[in-house]
Amino acid sequence: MIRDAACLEPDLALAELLFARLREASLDPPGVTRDAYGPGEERAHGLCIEAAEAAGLSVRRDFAGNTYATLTGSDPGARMLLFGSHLDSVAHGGNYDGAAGVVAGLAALAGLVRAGQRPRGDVTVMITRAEETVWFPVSFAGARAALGRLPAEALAARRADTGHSLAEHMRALGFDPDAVAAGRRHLEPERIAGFVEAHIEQGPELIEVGRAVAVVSAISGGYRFREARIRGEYAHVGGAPKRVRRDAVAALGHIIAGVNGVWDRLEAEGHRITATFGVVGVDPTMAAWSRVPGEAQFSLDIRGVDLPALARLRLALDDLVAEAEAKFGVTVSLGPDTGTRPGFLDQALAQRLRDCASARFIPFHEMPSGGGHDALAFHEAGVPAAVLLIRNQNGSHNPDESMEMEDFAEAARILATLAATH
Amino acid sequence: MLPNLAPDLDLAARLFDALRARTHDDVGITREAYGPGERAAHTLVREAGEALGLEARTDHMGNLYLTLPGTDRSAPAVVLGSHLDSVPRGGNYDGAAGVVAGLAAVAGFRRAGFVPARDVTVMAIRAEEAGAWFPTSYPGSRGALGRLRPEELDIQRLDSGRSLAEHMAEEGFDPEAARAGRAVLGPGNVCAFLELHIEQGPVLESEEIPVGIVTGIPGSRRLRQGRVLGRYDHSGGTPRRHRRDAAIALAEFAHRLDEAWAILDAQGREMVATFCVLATAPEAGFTKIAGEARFQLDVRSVEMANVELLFAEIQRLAAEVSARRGVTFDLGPESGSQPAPMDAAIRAGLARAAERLGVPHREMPSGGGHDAAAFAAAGIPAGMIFVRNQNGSHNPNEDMRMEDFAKACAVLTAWAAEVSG
Repeated sequence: MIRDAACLEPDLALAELLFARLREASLDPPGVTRDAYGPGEERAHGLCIEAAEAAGLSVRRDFAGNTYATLTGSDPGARMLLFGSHLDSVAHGGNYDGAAGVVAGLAALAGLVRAGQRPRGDVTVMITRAEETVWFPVSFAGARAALGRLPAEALAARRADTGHSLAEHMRALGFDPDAVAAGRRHLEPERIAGFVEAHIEQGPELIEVGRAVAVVSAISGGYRFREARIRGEYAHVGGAPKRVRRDAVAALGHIIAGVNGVWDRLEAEGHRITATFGVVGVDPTMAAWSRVPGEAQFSLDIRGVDLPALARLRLALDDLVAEAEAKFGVTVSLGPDTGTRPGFLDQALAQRLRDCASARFIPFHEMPSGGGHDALAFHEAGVPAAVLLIRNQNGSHNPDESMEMEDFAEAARILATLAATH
Repeated sequence: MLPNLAPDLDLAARLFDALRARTHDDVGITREAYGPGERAAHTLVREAGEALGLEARTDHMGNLYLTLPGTDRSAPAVVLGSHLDSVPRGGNYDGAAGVVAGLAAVAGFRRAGFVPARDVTVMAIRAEEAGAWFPTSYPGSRGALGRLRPEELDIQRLDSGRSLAEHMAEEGFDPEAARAGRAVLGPGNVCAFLELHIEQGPVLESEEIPVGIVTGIPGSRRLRQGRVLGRYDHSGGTPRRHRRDAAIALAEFAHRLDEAWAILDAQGREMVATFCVLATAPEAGFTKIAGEARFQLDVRSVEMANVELLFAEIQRLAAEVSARRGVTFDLGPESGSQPAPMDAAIRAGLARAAERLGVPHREMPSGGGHDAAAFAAAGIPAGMIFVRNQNGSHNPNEDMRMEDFAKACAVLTAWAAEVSG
């Protein structure tokens, strides 16, 4: 059966058209902007609904605004297979982060419809909401809401640019935050055979190894400090010799250089984790020429799948904070840790992806994923989950993100084969 | 033998009170340069000088001179002075203390019937607070010295957006004379300039010494538009060896420069190095590796050789960190100033006066710039006395104790009597 399914082609013309339309509808030079629970994401959902209906799939939406495009199976008692990803993007991001998984799923199912194939169980493309945490500081808001697993207090989180809450944004688009708060489930984990997310790779590993796709068996987690603050004392540059200063930038330098040094040692020992100080800086309203900076803030995103290495870096961070406080006379507050623990994905589902790739003679790579994807929300809900990464040039979260359509086609082919054999 | 001269401290107290009453806003003291606050202060000081029978004169810049005539009117004068403007919501003593001290000294001369051999002039200078009003160094004193560049008259006041020339003309002064380079002061008619000023840092307070004798005003090298360029990438998906992280590169640069400074500091090389600004660019985000970071760096010392040492390290570190981290350091344009050493004979004279009066004192460099630097640059022997001061300067909590002011003022008075007698 897998051999027949291995000949099934996804509808790549549909995919090309949909990518072009998505780009056009969300163009915000440089790059595209699809704001979570805002006009950009909403337009993208609309375009995908149109394409799914034209391809003969049946479309539904849930109370949190997630969209479902289903190819109905022959056996109503069989569990459903979910493909999915998100359609929001960072501001001035690329066209493929998120959208690639949605379009791959739709192209695969459109290919089945075109070939007159009907799987035994339902196969559904789920288009999630609000995965990019630059908008709401909440992980996997849409996916977790569908699973009844978004805490009610997350609805009070404010969108970074508008200042309005997640609940307000949901309601403005006609969705039902009260259902989310009540923990209502649109998806029953026990009714789902698996959730497979195709996603562009956000790093360059596939380029290095020369493969179009990778099967992911683990998703990294770690520690996330978004609002760490250092408080020292403002002083006149000339009037404050070294020994009396409480310089927040000097303390910041100590902490960043120290974390970097520990990371160096871990790397040398073969541990692969990452530490990113994405936003650092003095308070722009207070920093001035001739003034010793009395305040600084930083964000720190520590990620990996290697638990002992993550723990070592976390402990080292505490030591460095204490050192900086003692040495520079400052007070450091790391603020809340919004990190998640690493996830090890479903090994049987990962094996199914490998089998489908092998059946089509598609060489694949295996690696952990650095980005936290919606698949993690399903994994946490007890749903077998897997991620298929697609080679991508120039990284993600930037306008130069650039995926080759041939690589995308390989991922869509693997999904088509998986759907046909469901 | 000189008479036992003492400054008129009652006059000083009255003047400080009057200045505070006239220029207090709801929070602190505001005496805007070439504006109503500074004007009110000049009026008060002028009235006090005239009440003492001093000759009052204003130059083309609006600087005020109150002169006690000496027996030889043609001999170069001793000038005691400082500025009367303040930062917005600042304190009452930054600047004003030097003018009030000069008047108190001369009032003491008058009270004792002391007639100096040469003129002793109290000078109230305009527009010294460059960071608050006109962003250029010492326009008031440099204008009097004929050393203002014509284009500096077009510099705009930071709050009003109007030029120095416009503000001067509005107050009744003569910007065109300044543009033409008119000089009313120079080595030919000033033999020494002495400026008393509150200390802007905590050194005297922490060492429990009331008076500082300034060794020099620092020179500086400044990078106001430094940038580190790396590449924006996703934080989770990009392994370490592929990163070009501008935030870590800049933090490492700042940290290692701080360590270099600590080593030089331990060797007794007095200098300060400050990243006044260090920040990722507005495009930065929590889940992005920083592709750009910016900084402003200020390095200053009375000994320019110290600054050069640290700048050599800046160049070396920028190259090393760039090569290792795959980023580019763009240090941007550089600005700076030359140091102004204080006159050795004046320093020695001040030390002698302090010893004679039993006033504890120490030599120390100035951290910030002061009008005395403009006099030194013009070839006039210049000196400075610092007064211990609580809570720093440029803020409403600035708090000089009158007993410390009295000690510093006594040193100034004794010195002025010696050099003018």
